Amino acid sequence: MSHYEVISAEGLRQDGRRWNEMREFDCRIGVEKTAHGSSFIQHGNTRVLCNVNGPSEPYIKGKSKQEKAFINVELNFAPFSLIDRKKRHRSDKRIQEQCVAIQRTFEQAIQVELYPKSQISISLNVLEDDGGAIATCINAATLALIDAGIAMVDYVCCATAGIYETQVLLDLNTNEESDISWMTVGVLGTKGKVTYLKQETKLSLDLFEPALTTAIAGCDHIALQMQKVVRQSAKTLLSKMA
Amino acid sequence: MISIVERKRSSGSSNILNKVFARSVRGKVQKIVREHYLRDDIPCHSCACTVCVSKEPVDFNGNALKPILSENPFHLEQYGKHYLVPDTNVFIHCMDLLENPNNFFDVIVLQTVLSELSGRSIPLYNRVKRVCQEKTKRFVTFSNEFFSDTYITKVDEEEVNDRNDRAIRKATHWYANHLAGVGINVVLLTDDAENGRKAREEGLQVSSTKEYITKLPDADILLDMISANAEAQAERESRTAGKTLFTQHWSMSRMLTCIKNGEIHKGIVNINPYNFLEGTVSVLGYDKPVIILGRSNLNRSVQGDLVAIEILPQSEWKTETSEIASDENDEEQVEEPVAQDESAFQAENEKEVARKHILPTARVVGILKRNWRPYVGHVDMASVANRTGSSQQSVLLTPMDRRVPKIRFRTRQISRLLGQRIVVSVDNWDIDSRYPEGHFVRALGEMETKEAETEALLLEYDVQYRPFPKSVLDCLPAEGHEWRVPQDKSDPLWHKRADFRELLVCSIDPPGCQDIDDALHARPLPNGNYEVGVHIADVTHFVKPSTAMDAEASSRGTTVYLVDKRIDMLPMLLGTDLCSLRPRIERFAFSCIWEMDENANVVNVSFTKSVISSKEAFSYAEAQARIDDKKAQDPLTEGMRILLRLSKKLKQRRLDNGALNLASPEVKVQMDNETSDPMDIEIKQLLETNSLVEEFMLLANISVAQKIYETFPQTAVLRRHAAPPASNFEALQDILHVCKDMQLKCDSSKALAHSLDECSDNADPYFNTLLRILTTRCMLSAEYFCSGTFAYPDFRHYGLASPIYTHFTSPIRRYADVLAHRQLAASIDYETLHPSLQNKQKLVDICNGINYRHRMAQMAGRASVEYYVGQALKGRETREEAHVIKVFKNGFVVFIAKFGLEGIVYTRTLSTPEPVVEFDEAQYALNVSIKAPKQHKIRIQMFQKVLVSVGAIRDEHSGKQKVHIQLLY
Repeated sequence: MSHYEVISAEGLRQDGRRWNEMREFDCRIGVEKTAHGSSFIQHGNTRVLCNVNGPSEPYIKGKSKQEKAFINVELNFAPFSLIDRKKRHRSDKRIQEQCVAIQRTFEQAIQVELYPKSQISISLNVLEDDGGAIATCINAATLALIDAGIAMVDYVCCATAGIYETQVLLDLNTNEESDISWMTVGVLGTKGKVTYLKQETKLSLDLFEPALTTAIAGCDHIALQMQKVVRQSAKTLLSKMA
Repeated sequence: MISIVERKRSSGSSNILNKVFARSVRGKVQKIVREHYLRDDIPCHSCACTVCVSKEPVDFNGNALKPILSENPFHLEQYGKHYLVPDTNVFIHCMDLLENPNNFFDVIVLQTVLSELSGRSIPLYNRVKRVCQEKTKRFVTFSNEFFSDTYITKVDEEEVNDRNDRAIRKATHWYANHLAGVGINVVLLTDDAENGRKAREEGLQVSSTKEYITKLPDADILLDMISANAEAQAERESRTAGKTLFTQHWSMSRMLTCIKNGEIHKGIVNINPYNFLEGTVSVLGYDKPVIILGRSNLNRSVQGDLVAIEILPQSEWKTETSEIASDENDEEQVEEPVAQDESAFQAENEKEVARKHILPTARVVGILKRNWRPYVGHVDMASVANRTGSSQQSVLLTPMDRRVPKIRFRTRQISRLLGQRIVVSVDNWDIDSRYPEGHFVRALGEMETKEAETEALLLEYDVQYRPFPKSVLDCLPAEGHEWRVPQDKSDPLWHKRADFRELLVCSIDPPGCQDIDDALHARPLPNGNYEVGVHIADVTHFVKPSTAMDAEASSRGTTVYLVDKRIDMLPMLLGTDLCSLRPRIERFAFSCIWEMDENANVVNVSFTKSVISSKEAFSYAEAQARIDDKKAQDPLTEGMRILLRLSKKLKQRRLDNGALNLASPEVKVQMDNETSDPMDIEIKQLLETNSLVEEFMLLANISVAQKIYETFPQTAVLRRHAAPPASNFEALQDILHVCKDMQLKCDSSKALAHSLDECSDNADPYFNTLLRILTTRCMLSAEYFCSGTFAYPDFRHYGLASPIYTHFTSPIRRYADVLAHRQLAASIDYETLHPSLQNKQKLVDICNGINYRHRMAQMAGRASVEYYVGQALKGRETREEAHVIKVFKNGFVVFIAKFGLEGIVYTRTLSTPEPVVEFDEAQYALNVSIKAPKQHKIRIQMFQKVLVSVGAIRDEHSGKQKVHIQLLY
């Protein structure tokens, strides 16, 4: 695959996007009637389903806290989510690490002090992973939490950006992720407050900032999309109440 | 603020996903689903079009691309003003044509075509991309697969090829409609009759390559350049009745499976330059190379091909032929004994079995990867039937490279090609054809003219000698020669730069050197130690990563020095002016400063970017004179004396550590100043100052290597020289033992250095040097590598006896040094390291590239010297002393020290009638009994000193002046 170019001289990527273009972003909320809150996001080929239950009494008493809610995150990659069929167990170190990161992110976003001694559990199912799975998970969790009616400070929106030579690329797919250095950035609200940043590949310091700004701009775009869907569903709810 | 766009997939969701079923490495079937976004803002890249300018993409920094296709393209009566759209096969068969500098401008390369090309041949794909990037020929790529107006889906039961042809027609159609308003036509070039017919039905302008070329002004020359593949298809079909000369190659999948099972092996064929019907392949599992003998066993493989070989049963193993396939023999004659008389061959073979030199022997069963390139040569007179006619005929090319067989090609302009150096590309080699078939590319000029021979040489050694394209020149500083170091020290260019302008720095180089990349200084310190500085031109200040100039430099790899010409790695402006550390001008430098004690021990070392102003540019001889001049007491001379004193200590320490002092037959061709014709040949003189500069450069390289390896343990660009395996020396050791009763120890470089000092012959003072030359040939060559690919003990530089080494001191002429500069700059926190220098895989690729270029440049340089030596000897006949360095059954090779040149003497030329020759292999000797004019015997043995007469005659094989050597006795 050495000859394949991440971005052509004409400024087109392998799937026909330009550097600042995001894949199709489609989200729905309230898809799962049995859960308190649920959402489904399809971002390009990446698909994530999220259920939120709570606030409720904690399953594990030891983890409950006097003054605030405990957030439990479960992350599950479907065996068919990648090209090679592969089972990933919940005790997988990487998955556990990602769970903790998501948990910490939402501890800042949810007004946890409103729900003392209770548990809020977020269950994330990655059905298909074609790049930016964790970003999509965080987006899906935000929507499901809103659907469940849990008080939050603001939206948490997440996007990825990478650097190919000196070019910044927004929103990578799996092919690009494996080829270039990239980062996942999560932003609280639309004021550019970064609450989640994860980077596993080396990145030159001069290019860090352009990549970060691009990712934040991507987050802002996602925030708008999510708001639209939330408002739409709120309208339907309102009309039902009337 | 960055504007973010979200792409929506087009409606009709069936066509937005590309589903591919692929076989994974382990053999599982994988389903790969990729998204494919269609867009409506693909520009047509034409300057004539006013609509598309706004569609040109804008990158992160806000730069938009510019349209490239001319608004006033080439005009032909039949097609009017037009752009060309070639299909994939046109690129595959006629790339040489499309690259022709006088024709074929404004060409649209469709994305469909490019992706088909990348599947067919990566080198060709890269060639096309390169032409597109250079912009001089106005080739553009049009991303038709991402354009909603030109995208098509595969119809059921349609072959992929048919779908691609349809996509090409659709894109051509779009272009034709799009540009109809501005009066520019679009012509589809295709040699596929079916595709052409369909396109005509759709109302497109179509032409086959041949048809198109005949309408061009210089049609004759261009017509010859059509590939044999494209042209002779029909003829080949009619010829099928011919007998097959070779066995069929195995299919690729069969070869791969058998290689996996270990039934057959793969390796690169290396043809014996003395005998083109014998090749060797180095294969894992055999400690000696496997030999392949004879035309049918070589089975159409050509020098450098990656082949699959089957080892023959042990009973058929043979020895290397100790015979020289002489070039005067016609090929046919050489071959006959191999094919014709099997029993005689076997009888001879049985004798040989008893001997010790039997080698594993194999035959080629298939070719995994061809290594064909354009070959330079001349038309074989004997193959020409009609010397004047302009009708088409097949002729043979005799390549300059002796390892390559003759190539058959067709031409209509034979009268113009005779006596010319020409380039021919190989297209195929059929099972029923004795020779590979190719097509004419271009003529370089009259044989034996300096221009043609130089260009031929550059082509043969794959040297990139074309002038720098515009995209590269655009990277140069706008001020040109007026560029100066800013006077104001608050200027950002001064950031983190030390001011060394007051230091007494000078440079010492060969006379007439223009690209001065190193300068030195030394001064005593108050504590009794010395400060020594090596200042290297700061090339990386001007050559930034991921620019066109960097890409060009990386692909050139090194500057190539020929006798009368230099092919630069960097544009002249940088190499000889802005980077060159010329005297009395302020220049940016990268400095390496040591503190040393009286015994040349390094107390500490520091690196910094700096500004220096060299006080003087000496030649080696001038510097030597200045140092020797007792009256000169100025601080600059004193500094040089310190340097000389320290360098002697450094050298002694290096030799004590086991560094080798090897000799190579370096000669210099003296040129007549006015006509630049070669006048005389002399052996290069070495002065103390040569070794002064060398020692400090070695020290700088070692210091830098340590520093960058410390900072980047995985990705430092270093240079290693592996210890040669003991088997390389076996032959030489044996010869020495038999002929001179001497021992050569090669356990370590130190032992070798020591035993080389011991081996000398009082009767023959040159013998020691000769031995060193032969020892050098047993060595492996040094190579660049990326530190993550070897274990630390393997970093060792055998020849220099240093545990770690890199190249840092000549960034103007070597690309490896540029990389080392960037890494060093990053390791002293001068700048951040560019991502491409952090990627191990990329660095490995770059290192392989520069190793190849380096090797080629060396060979080109040697070939150039050889050519000029031939020219200098032209019309002269001198008597010289020579040494025998190789003995064959029917001749021997002598080395003439004075000219640094070697040549073959055939025994049959010793007298008429041919003498009876007895080959004493154990003694490495020939016993020749000469019958006339008077009967006597002579004995030729290895290392023997002989008297030869040297003259130049025209070599029929390569068409060059070739040194002709005759034994005098």
